[in-house]
Amino acid sequence: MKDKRFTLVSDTPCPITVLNDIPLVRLQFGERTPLTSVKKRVRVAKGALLAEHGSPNVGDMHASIDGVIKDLTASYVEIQYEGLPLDVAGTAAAAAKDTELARPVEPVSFDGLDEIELGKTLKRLGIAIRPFTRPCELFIINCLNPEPGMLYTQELLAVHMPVIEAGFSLVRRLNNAPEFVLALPEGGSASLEGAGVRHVSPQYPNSLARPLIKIVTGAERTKHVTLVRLHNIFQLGLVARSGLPLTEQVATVFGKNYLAPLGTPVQTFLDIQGFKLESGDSVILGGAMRGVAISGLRRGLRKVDDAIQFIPKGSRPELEDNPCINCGACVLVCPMRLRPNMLSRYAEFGQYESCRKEQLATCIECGMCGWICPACRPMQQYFRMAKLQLGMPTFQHRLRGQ
Amino acid sequence: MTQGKTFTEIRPRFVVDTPPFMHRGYTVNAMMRDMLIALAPAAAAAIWQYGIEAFRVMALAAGICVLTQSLWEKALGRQSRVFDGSALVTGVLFAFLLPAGAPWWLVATGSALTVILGREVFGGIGCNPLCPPLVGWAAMTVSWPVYMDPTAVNLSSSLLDPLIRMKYYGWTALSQGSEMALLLGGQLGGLGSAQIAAVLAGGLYLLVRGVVRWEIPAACLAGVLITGAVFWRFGPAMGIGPASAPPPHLYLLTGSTIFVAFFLATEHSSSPVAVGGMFAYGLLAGFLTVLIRIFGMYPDGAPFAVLLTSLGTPMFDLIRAAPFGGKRS
Ligand code: SF4
Ligand code: SF4
Repeated sequence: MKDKRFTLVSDTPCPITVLNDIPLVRLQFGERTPLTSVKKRVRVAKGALLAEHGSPNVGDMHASIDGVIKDLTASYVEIQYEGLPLDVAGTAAAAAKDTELARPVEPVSFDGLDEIELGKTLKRLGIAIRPFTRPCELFIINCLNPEPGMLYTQELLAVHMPVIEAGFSLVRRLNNAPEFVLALPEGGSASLEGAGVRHVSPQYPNSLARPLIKIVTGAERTKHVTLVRLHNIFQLGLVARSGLPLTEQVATVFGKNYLAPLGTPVQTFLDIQGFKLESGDSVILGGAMRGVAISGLRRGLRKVDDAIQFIPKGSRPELEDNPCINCGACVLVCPMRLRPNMLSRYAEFGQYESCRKEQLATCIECGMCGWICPACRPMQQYFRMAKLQLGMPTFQHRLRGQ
Repeated sequence: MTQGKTFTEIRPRFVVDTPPFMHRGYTVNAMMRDMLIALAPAAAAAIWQYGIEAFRVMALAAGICVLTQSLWEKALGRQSRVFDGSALVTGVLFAFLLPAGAPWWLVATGSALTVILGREVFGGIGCNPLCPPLVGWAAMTVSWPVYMDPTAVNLSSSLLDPLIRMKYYGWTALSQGSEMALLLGGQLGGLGSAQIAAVLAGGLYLLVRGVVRWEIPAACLAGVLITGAVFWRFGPAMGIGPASAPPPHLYLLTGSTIFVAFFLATEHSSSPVAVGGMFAYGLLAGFLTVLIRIFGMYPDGAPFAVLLTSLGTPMFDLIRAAPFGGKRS
């Protein structure tokens, strides 16, 4: 009953294109607070601190290109590339004010810092350090592409190993887990000094945290195991190598891999690839199984977005609140051995407490039940709705703050 | 009710554009199309055997089911779901249980009851606690037993109802070597359900296409064979005349056992979905089939056995593995 689209490795190489000279980026604040000096028409240097987060676990936000702040709202800031000729950049560049935000950013050295200081420094450089510092007995690096439509991990392992090594050396300073394991797709050959290797069948949903931990450890109750995506190690490695704030991001966009400035708008990728959207198509931020459909193409790439995908109109039957026919397909396919049929019915009829009893909290929103449901029920939507009502964190919720 | 809707009614409760953005592509419509394909061989065999009579019953039952559902939905102001094809399939399933010579009013009443009592009063597709065609069948069997009796309504037929023979004269009354004829539908019974070989082919198609879960028919047939074997072997010791306990395979070759196991016991809404529950459910249905055949007053035990077993479906659904992480709710 598997779908060929669930295969998480590609047979052909997908080289990573480095994007520079992006005319405009839009950076999403998430739950961060912008600095008071961040104002319209202010000139900023690449790497300048723009917004901070009170939690030590959420990375701060920095300008990802040199430019001038063109627009500022409660939720985002837009920076226009400065090197444009005046007539294109318009009056904004002409009237730009120089403040300390325009000063070029100096690299930081990590030598001699203890783990607390190192963590603080990395947070200030834009890294979400929580997964790295979480005490554990086993630390797994997930080298599978997390979801269908993401293709970057093989390329990172093949071409950017030095960056990953640099990231891993910081991980070892932040975390004194006795064992580190690289979870590779079957046939993968990468290795990291100090880490063991486990080969895993590259089929969705093996790439998600709990199923993968189960495969590696054989256990289902695994509070003592930490799992991070290769993507996060790569981000850490970029910062480790440069000593500069995190300003770029690797992502698979419409089937191609890019290393692009954070905040690169979806529209820019469309332009680069010459993609034309028709009404009725969807653009997804994140994976095809767990991502969100976006309504505007100016949305910028966030640190947590490792894919942008295009879903042509009509490629999926419409999900509607059809009644469950109780076919049981979702029960057989759920990796968490839940009863999505019952869960979704409870949620549909507002019986949220029953959802809690059915262990809604165990649902990882993998999307398998919605993928298979012949009645085309919006399963994840029901589950998110119920989770919100019950005060449980949803998958999207966890991403939103970043 | 006023024409205008209030704000809360208009605001979508669920935004429909939601992940996953991929779908397996197998929908209820496709499933119902597969059901019709699976029913086709037996329907053709029935027409070949009984001619236009059989066609008349099937067409009438399917038509009345579709019509009843649309009228019901209209009367209640519900969104119409008639185009998902399930009413059509339900009608054909019900017709398969009827004798080919069933009078038109019996077919029409039974079909209407199948849809209304079997399904719609509970809220429509997916909400019925019992298998709808069996509800219609049971209502008709209890109300007009004579018209539901294949021997009584097919007087002109030269075929015999092996169930009656077995019940009243013992299985030895069946002529030796009649298995092949029985398999190929050479018996009186439900117009479609007695086409054993054709039904079996359709049932296997359902399994291959994943429309029904294999555990249920497998457990059901295993239940029949095991119980049948026990009575065959130990029946005389238990005081059951040897003539009343036929060899186990005869349970499958006569009556509607195969049809019920593949097409009705598997009815999604009234059967369990957990793997353990499916096995228990199937085994019990098989067990009851044999019990009713030997001790009950209805010669064909399978339909009532499944009706009874379905009552336990919520219980059977509790027989399942604990969710990931091991905590049971
Ligand atoms: S999304 Fe569905 S299949 Fe996935 S864990 Fe949740 S209930 Fe199970
Ligand atoms: S797959 Fe859909 S129709 Fe089937 S039991 Fe699950 S929710 Fe119901």
